[in-house]
Amino acid sequence: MAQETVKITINGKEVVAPKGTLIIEAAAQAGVEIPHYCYHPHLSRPAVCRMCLVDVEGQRKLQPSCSTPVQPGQVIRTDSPKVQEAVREVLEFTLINHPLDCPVCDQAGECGLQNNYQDYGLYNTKFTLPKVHKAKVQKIGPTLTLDAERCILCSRCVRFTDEITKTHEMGIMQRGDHAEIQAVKEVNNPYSTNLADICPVGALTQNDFRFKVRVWYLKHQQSICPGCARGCNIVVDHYRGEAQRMRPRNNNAVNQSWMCDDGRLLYKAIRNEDRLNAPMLRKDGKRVAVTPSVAFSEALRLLEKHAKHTATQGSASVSNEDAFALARLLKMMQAPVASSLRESPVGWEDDALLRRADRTPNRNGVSAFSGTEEFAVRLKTATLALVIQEDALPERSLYPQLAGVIYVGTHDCPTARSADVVLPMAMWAEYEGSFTNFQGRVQRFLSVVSAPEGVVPLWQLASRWSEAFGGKRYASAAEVFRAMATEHPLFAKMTFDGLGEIGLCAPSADQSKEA
Amino acid sequence: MEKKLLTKYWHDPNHKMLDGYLKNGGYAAIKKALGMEPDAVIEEAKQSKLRGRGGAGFPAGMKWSFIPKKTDKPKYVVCNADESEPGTFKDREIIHKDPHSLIEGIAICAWAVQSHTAFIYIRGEFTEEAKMLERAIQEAYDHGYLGKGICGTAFDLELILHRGAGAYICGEETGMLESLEGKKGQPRNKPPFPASEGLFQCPTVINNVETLAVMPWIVLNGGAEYAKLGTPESTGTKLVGISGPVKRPGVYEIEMGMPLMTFINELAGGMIEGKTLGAVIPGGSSTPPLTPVQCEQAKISYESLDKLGSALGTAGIIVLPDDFSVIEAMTVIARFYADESCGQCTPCREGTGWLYKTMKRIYAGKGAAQDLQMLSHISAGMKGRTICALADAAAWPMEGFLRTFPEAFQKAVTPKQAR
Amino acid sequence: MQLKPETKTKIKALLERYPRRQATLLPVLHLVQEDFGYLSDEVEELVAKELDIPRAAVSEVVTFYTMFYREPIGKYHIMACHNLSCTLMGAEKLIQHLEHRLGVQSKAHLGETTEDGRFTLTRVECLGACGEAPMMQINDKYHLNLTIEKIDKILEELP
Ligand SMILES: Cc1cc2nc3c(=O)[nH]c(=O)nc-3n(C[C@H](O)[C@H](O)[C@H](O)COP(=O)(O)O)c2cc1C
Ligand code: SF4
Ligand code: SF4
Ligand code: SF4
Ligand code: FES
Ligand code: FES
Repeated sequence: MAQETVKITINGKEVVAPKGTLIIEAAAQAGVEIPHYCYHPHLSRPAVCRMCLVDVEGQRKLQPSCSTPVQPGQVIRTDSPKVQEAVREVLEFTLINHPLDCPVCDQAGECGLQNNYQDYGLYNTKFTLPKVHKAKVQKIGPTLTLDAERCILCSRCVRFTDEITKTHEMGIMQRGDHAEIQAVKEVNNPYSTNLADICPVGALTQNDFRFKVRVWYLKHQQSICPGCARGCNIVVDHYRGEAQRMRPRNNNAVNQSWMCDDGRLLYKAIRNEDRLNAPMLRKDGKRVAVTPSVAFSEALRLLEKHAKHTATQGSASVSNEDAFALARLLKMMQAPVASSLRESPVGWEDDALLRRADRTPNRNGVSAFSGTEEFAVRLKTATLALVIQEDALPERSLYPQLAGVIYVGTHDCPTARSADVVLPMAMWAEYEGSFTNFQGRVQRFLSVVSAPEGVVPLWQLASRWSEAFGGKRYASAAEVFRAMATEHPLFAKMTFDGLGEIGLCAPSADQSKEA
Repeated sequence: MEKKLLTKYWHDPNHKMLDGYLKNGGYAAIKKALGMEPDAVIEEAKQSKLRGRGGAGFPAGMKWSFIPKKTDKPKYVVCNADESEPGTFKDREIIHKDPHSLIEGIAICAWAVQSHTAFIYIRGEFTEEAKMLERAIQEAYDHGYLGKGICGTAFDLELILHRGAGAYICGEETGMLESLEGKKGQPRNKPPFPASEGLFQCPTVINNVETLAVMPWIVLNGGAEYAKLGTPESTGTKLVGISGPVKRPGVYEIEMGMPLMTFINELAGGMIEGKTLGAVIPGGSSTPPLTPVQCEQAKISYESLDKLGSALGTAGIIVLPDDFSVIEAMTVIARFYADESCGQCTPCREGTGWLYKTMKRIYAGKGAAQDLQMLSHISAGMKGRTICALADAAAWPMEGFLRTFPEAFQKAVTPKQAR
Repeated sequence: MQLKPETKTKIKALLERYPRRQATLLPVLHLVQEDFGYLSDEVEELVAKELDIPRAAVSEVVTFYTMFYREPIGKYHIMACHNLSCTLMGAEKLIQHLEHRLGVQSKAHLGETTEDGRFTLTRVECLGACGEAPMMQINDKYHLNLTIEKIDKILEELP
């Protein structure tokens, strides 16, 4: 069904927008930025900050563009002197009671207030009367700090806790210029850190990030959270080769503009102490570090020797490209396909917002390349075990016939400790690839930081090994993806670059699961 | 002098009781209305050209006609008895002397728009008035003027008295709806207007006490008859309150168009001994003041006061004697709006506070010349940019005082030794 | 702490009259404040539970309206109007007299309470009785056309 559209004019330019679009959104689509504080695309629109006023021909008063839908033939100006003056003056009002503590404010650099008053050439010089004082720094929960004096009362945080999490922790108390934002109880809902993202100023800040790095030093990369089957779209902010924080990125079909608190901390696993960053071989019962090429060759020797007697444990945490390249290798070895995926860690249930009980990011994608037989069953007859990422073989002694164990993973574990060859692999933030989320949406993540010296993603290991069996070696994730797209209907007609920022859904995927 | 439609029986102490009210012909209008088509009742209201008496002056009949006829939702009538605009005390008089007129007016409105549930939102401080209304409502229920099948017809009407709790902004109609829903009284963005999405998101008429209380007269005598009174733009009569140092302060019902000075001198008895008229705030504290010269030209009507740069507002006249500091008067007014801003819109929340702090500083003798420009700048920045008219209501008197009394303001910001 | 059974019964009746639970909040807070004198955190919690609405919604409302108290007040709450008409008719002098007589500071929203807990002296905005200025409200009752002598008499006659 074709959507009804409306033709309007913004700053003299004709714009076509779907019926019901808000002026602020239609303007954004046409490349016209309208300043705003209280408006948020995924929250209700109280139109209280009054920053987004625009001139609509025929209307005596300026209209709030965040709550006014487009009407056919509307002539809108956002650049007239009347509008500019209004924005400047509203901004001036916003600054009256705002403490000027930018030099010590953690939000500096990504503060809506600071950005705007620089744009409008305003400095808080006119107001020489005493400011209203409110509660300064308070820890309002494990993830957040609140400074009520910096609050501009946009009510986004109140609306988030009322409308999105429905946990109702925040409220605006009192009235007039004594109105004050307050948490009436500990803010410990699983999505709390989103409040720091949506607060347009430095009133709500993230404990995990406070005073860590000045934001203007940060670099940003598009990625996907690997924390569960939702695959929230995110940005990873990094500085000097280290990931510093994860933030949600807008994708209406997946996570709107939110992510959960647990997901947000996953960047920490990139550098934690259990991280495997050097290959190892087992010699005389002890693990010794070796060069990547020694470990690679030893693993290859085992794979060639045992070939079809290899039992492989796959993982739902690896990318589609990893799983495809591995499956191709196994096929060439005439070994059984990787075993069905292990259960995800318990503890979560599907909740009403984002989190999925399945805490692996790519079960949907990887299952396309896995078998159904249990790894434990296969192990009984296999002579070589190839374990990807999972701690699937913690007690090797139960399988005396096993001549060798190869472990490929990111973190150390009992299985890794009893393996003959340990090959570290790159983590999601260290390479590029795609995950297929629970809705069947294939989403791309890009490389944020570099992997430890000599550490590569699984698809590279698999594709290099497959050369020994007569296969071609892939040069890039995009190339793997191309092969995958021709062979598998789940990826039909897709290209790696075509996944863009918000991914694609296979036509065969269950559309009803779309959020 | 006075023209008594609504106040005709107010001298009768029994009029506030059902018995007395009935003896004086009460509840005949609702019976008549119930025999008419609802649309015909709306038509009478339209004919009367009665403009809402809560301050905004919107034509009452037209407002009723906006209520959708075909809807699955319940419809509501809400009577605005929040009366909090400084200088205004007419609705309180109606409640004291004539509560049944109000109840009857509400019933007429409910029939006209086919609503079965009505509320009276009364300001919290009016505790005694709430008790009076509660008693009158009970009487009306007991005698079949409210409840199931009113006046023996099949028309049901529930009337619920709802008390506020101390917030001027709940007089603004959508702030009132929020408050009735159990929330902070923070006005809503319009559109949607209450006629389509009001109380509990249902079509709602909101009218002031006086607007509703005069409806029985209009139904009984006909809208055209009402429209013959007053001026073409300000039809009918108006309850006008007057306070300040005049001999007979109080509420008087007059025909619209009466010269302001006639009202002050003849009905209110003029200034008390030893006081001279300095300025008049004609319609509640948000209306700009008039100088004595302007007062001579002014008539009590929408159009006359508009022309003089002020407004009829609630017709709550405040008389300032010439020995009273206009700086102090404006400081009090600024304090009021700062205190009562609901705080949601930035220009109002910050602007009202800024105006008050600046006025306070000037009143304390610590003002500076640039403060006057600042006051104009702030007022201009507040107007027309907020969700409701409170910000405008705060800016108008500020601009009015600056315009009307430039010398007094100039003097107030001049250091003492330089004067 | 518990709500009184009579109050609970009244709340139940209110809930039947209003189409939504939260709509009863103002009447319920009036009732409950009558019982407890003021609305403490604990009382707010009780009300939130009774009406099954978020605590934050209750706190927002309690702090928004001037007639809800967050702390104990005197047996007699004197609310002296200091808006324009009353000021014109001498309200400031009356308020100063009361401050002097009671030995407390008057303030907006909630003024000070005398040590014996008898009086709280609050300045309030226009109470809609400007024609009978200056005026003040003591608990539920309006006292109009006041003079210093009249106020003294009123205070002396209070039980
Ligand atoms: C700040 C503000 C305060 C108001 N206070 C009152 C009030 O106390 N009583 C009232 O009847 N109308 C008040 N109004 C006007 C109402 O919004 C509304 O226009 C009126 O109740 C409609 O009734 P009417 O058409 O019968 O006048 C106020 C408006 C504003 C903007
Ligand atoms: S704390 Fe931040 S998000 Fe919440 S109201 Fe204040 S400025 Fe808005
Ligand atoms: S919901 Fe899942 S994908 Fe989204 S942030 Fe949380 S863990 Fe990550
Ligand atoms: S103008 Fe003032 S009172 Fe009206 S909604 Fe905005 S902040 Fe509230
Ligand atoms: S963004 Fe429109 S009013 Fe705040
Ligand atoms: S000014 Fe005091 S009652 Fe109106």
